[in-house]
Amino acid sequence: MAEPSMAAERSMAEILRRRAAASPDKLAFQFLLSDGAEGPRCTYVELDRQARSIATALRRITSPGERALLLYAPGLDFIPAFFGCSYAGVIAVPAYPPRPEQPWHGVEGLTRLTLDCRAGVVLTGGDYAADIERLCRPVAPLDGVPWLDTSDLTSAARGGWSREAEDPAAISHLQYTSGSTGNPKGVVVSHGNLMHNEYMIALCSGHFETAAAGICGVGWLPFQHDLGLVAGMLQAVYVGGPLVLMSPVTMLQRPYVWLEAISRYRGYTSGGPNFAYDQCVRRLSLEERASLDLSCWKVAGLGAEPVRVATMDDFAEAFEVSGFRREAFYPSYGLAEGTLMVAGGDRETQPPVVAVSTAALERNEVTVVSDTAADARLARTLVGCGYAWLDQQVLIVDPTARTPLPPARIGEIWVSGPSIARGYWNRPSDTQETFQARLNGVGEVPFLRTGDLGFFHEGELFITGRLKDVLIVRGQNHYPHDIELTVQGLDPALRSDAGAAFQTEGDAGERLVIVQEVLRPGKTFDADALARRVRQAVAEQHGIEVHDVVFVRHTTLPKTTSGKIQRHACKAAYEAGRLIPYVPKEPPRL
Amino acid sequence: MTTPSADNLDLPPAPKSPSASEIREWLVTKLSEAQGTPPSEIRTDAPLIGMGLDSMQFVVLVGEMEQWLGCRFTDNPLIDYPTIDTLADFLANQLAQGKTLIDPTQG
Repeated sequence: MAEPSMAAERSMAEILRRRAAASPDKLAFQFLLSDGAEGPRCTYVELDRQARSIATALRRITSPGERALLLYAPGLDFIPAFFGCSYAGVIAVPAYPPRPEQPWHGVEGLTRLTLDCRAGVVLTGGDYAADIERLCRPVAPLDGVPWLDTSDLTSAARGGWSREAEDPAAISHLQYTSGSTGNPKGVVVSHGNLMHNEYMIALCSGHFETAAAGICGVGWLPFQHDLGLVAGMLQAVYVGGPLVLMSPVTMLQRPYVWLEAISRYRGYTSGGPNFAYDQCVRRLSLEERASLDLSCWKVAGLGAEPVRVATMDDFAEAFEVSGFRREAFYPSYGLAEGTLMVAGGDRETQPPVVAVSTAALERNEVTVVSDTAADARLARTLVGCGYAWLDQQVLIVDPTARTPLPPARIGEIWVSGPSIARGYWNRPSDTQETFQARLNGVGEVPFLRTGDLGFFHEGELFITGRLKDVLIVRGQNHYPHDIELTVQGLDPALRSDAGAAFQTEGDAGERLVIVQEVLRPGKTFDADALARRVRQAVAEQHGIEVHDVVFVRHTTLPKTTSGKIQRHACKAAYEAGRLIPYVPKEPPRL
Repeated sequence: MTTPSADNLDLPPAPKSPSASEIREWLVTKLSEAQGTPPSEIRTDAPLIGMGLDSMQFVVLVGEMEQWLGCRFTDNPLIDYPTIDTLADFLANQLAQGKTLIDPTQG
């Protein structure tokens, strides 16, 4: 069979219109309640009708090109609102509403985001619309901005279509990324970007075939996240296959409901970051695992952060009893600046795993160590995340000389192609620097600088770290991850993934600082003695002098929502003197 | 390597209808584990939010509480019962009435 070609439509809005006309009563989305029972559902024709009502209402109060903030609780109400924006030529800006139990949490971020995109209208809807509006009252820039409750629109308008939705260069939405400095940046995604990336995802996941056979996917990631939006909601409409959805809260509280939904609906694709799989391993009983049939699950997506081999190993072992096969794991690489997907591998094969020498990594070189169970201090185990698809180009580039590097060399990952977003909203110099990079400074093709470091090995892309995190000491590269691992191996109270190594500017140049959380220290915990051992171990194993070691209480270092340490935020906290050293309650007896 | 199971929650199953002090003790243990501080340092009369857990950890904690108690919450109980003391009293009361579906807004 010939490879399915890219859709002839120029935007996701046009695709939805086609589906509503061709298969109006086909199920598009089925939402599951927190106990897994079926909640609201919608067909293509219903989705199209709601989107048109919303577009009609939007056009009365906005003009094309304005930004609409989409503030929705988990559920289906977000979906017609997103398409309604597209129909009206309005730029959708998905954002998280403040949380009811932590109302102040999120207000500051939402304030900055609203200021940055200069939202002209807010869309909300569903059972929590009134609560969301109340929780947003402290967001000052929203004063005077009109609110539209999209579940309150009665008239099913016949019009609601705008020409802007047909222009592939027009902007579909802004995908906000938090950024390490807490300054939100809106990635400008065009209709053309989306069409290209959706096609890529469909091809490498096999979704054209599964959608044609009526096989569904199962999703729980929020629509505010590029994975939930692009790989979940929009992909389902692009290929025309049903998507079973649930709230992220459901998945976190009851991971069983997630896997049970895959088993019950015979889900083909589902996924999430490492912690989603880790939660399932930790929380499901053998009885629960044995009750599931996950043999249908052929694409278990793993993305959004470096893929851990242990996550795949533990999950595959625990859920073998459910018929899950390790080759279903589908690690991939992507980022919002690339619309989403940049690289993906072959389906239903074991994800490639290599162990590389840490010493060679420091020289920006790749030396594969044959023994994958090698000493963690001498070798790092990495998971391959595929290769470029279609007409996209992924290169490994020397970030200083801006020249392509040969295989087995580590450099910055540069990407070009139709999926690369237009830039950052209202940030011309950031856009120039990140989206318009040129090889040798003069190349004709603009490249996206991802800021990620990696290499190609046997055609597969491997990610080694973030460029801005790498510590350069006397011309040698050191990965903070490796130094942190050395520190965390010294004492059981120094937990993994709970420390940061970074450089700070001193009088005599860059100096290495280590901050590390302390969890349940033994009775003999002695911070000074341990700090001395840290200095010694880092000097012996990495050849670097440690300028300062700070132990802090557990859970006090800045982390992402998925529990990943934020090194730059740790550095900022350290430099601002905001880290409070850990003091044991009773001093150790001497 | 160990085979994962629900026992990985490190705690024995809840008694049929746990008392407020048993629930309090469970919550203190959980908080103490999550924060790496001794149980004696966990305040039961202060709001749980603000103890250094992020929103994802709270959602997971509520899920583990449901799993341990064998009940379901219709809403996030921490909104109406923000401290360990008030939450434990409320839950013990609800469970003593034989409820398995607990609505925190209907105290």
